[in-house]
Amino acid sequence: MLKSLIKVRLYSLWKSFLQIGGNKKYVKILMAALMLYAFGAMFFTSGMMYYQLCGALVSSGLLWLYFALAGLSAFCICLLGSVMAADSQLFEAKDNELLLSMPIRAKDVLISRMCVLLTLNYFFILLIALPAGVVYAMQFTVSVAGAAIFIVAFAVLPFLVLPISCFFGWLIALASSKARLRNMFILLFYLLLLGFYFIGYTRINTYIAKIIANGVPLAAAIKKALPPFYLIGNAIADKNPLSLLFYILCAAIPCVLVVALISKNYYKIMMTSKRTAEVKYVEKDVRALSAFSALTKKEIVFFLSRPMYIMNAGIGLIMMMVLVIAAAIKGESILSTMGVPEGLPLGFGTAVCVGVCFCATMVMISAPSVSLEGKCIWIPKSIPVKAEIILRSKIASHIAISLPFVIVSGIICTIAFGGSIAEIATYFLLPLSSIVFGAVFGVVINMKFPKFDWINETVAIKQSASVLITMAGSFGFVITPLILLLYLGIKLSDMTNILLLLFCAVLFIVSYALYALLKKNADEKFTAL
Amino acid sequence: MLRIEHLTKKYGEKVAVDDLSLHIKAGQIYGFIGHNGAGKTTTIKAVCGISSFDGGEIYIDGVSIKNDPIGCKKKIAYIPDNPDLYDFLSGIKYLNFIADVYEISKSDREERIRKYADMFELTKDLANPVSSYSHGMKQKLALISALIHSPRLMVLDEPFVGLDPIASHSLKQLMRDMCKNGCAIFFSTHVLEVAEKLCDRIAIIRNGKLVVTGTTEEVKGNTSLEEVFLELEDKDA
Repeated sequence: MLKSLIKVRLYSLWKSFLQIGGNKKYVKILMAALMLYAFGAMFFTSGMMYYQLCGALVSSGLLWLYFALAGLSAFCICLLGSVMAADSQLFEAKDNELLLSMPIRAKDVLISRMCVLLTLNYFFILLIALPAGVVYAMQFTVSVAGAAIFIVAFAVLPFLVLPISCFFGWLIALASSKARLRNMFILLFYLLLLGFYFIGYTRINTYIAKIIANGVPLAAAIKKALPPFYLIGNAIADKNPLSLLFYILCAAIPCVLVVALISKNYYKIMMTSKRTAEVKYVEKDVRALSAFSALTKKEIVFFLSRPMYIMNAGIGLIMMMVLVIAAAIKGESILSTMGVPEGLPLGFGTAVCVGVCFCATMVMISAPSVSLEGKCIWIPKSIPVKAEIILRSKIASHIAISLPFVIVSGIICTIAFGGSIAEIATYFLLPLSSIVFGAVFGVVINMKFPKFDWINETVAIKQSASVLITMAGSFGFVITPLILLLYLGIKLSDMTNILLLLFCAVLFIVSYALYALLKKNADEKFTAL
Repeated sequence: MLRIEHLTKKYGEKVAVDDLSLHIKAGQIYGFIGHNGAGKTTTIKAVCGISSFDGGEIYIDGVSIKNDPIGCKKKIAYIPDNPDLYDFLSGIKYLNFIADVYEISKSDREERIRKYADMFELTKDLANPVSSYSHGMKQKLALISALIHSPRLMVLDEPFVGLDPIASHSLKQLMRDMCKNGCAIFFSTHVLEVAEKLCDRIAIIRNGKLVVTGTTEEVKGNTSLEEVFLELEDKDA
């Protein structure tokens, strides 16, 4: 029974990856290539980080610290990546009640679901920890015993993560008894995640330098405070089987205890009523809206009700604010943090505005909006409203959600950096034109590559062909020409802002042309979805 | 009110609906019966302008749904077999959304929401999110939203599934009252006893083809609708 359950779980995980490309073969190939590129880039980035650390730590006689840090990084990424999965797989799975009504042991249901978490964690380990081994092997001789211990140590790591991700998953499930609290909890969790990511990403070089400079005290601190990671490092560096054994025990004992504890209480956890508190209905005065306004409002309410949608499709808006505020506070020193070469004949405000525009291309609110109708697609199809208006409402909601961020970023740039009329116009118009283009382009692409057979909205928001193509398209149509224009602007000296404003005009025209294309035979295309 | 002429719909090579013709007059309750996969939902979706069709014509009140889909949809109310509604809205917000889309005035919508929510005993739950509703409550909400614009033609796909006995009784009564006021109702069902008692006319579809049509009395004759249906199934098997 357990074997069948595990097979079904892993098959569904595999299917969710396969779903990315939809049913068209060429899209599948394109998506596979894009994903391979993304994974390769992550592998390479991790490798570069380890490359800086490896030689320095080995020469300081702190090889064990190198592997301990690899273990610690992999542990953190696995934990952050699997907490939400722990909630959805263990405590919120839609088929839990069905499975628990069958003559299947709760422990088997639980273990089969934990296998999905372990598989996800192995995937993260391949991207984060494996590069550490590869980098070391490229620089030093590796013995068979050392390689074997490395493989065993990292094969055991997901079991160390599992109890903690289960605990946090359970906390989220507990918070889900109140729907509003759940959304806030998830949003907060993602914001924290994003904050950690930003801090880590922007200061990675500083951290590496600090690790190298303070290797000895850091090693002592890790040895004292985080013994499992000292044991990982020691087991691999010194090929110490005893350390490996203790480390395996550190991972296995909490894991077994957590499995036993949850499986014993699994029925109770599942059967606890998750009904939200009832709201008493009081008849209120309502304002009648036009069909377009009602549809736009519906899109905005939907966006705001889904933390996953906000964090994935609206991440560009959050980044936009972070960038502008950081630039206003920190001034030009932020350019070196971002890796922008010094000495550009470009106003600082304009440089920040280009960064804001880059963030705007990451706003993907409209790109999955048609797919997200899912099983409710019968509603827009059956109402007496032209498809053109339905699609326009999706574009409008993308713009309406983004507009306050564009305006605030423009105001901050104006106050903080000032500049000529052309520069101030650029602060507002460049991000706005990018937002408008992304809104229209997203719906056009989603009409071409809709996906309604998702079980979880995350598939449409994060893994659909429409979102990936829109992202790549926005990058190609906005960022690439922008870089070329900046280069040209630099050559022409004072012309940069004029060229950027001309580029805005081109983006608005292209957006209108795309909208005209979308309107053409919209009813027939929408009915055919 | 609804005239289906030689309707044909294909999914690839498979003919889901084959040359189907029906005529439903104002004031009639028309039952649409068939086995699973017979083509009932496909026909209903074509009638409501939700899916396109390959051949034939569908007229709503004399107007082709191909030529004026928006005009036709204004007269139709459709309830699908599985009421998937916007679960991120509360019941009342969903009803107001539908009322906005159908351009229903403030006073009309208030009056109708009050009337039908009371009828289906959903008033006290209207402020709760649709995601917290049971299947039956969603079905009731879908029914209220379908009635909010006073449709001339109601097209219902398995409308009694999930409804409690009181709501089911209220719906039957409502269907009769609406027909008395000149509305037409076209609905599919597997509950043959309901069809037998409620319908003025019945159509039986098998493998996309209309096999029997007529008044309920003509179709069932001296036997029951269930016997007629099973006999037809045996014959074709």
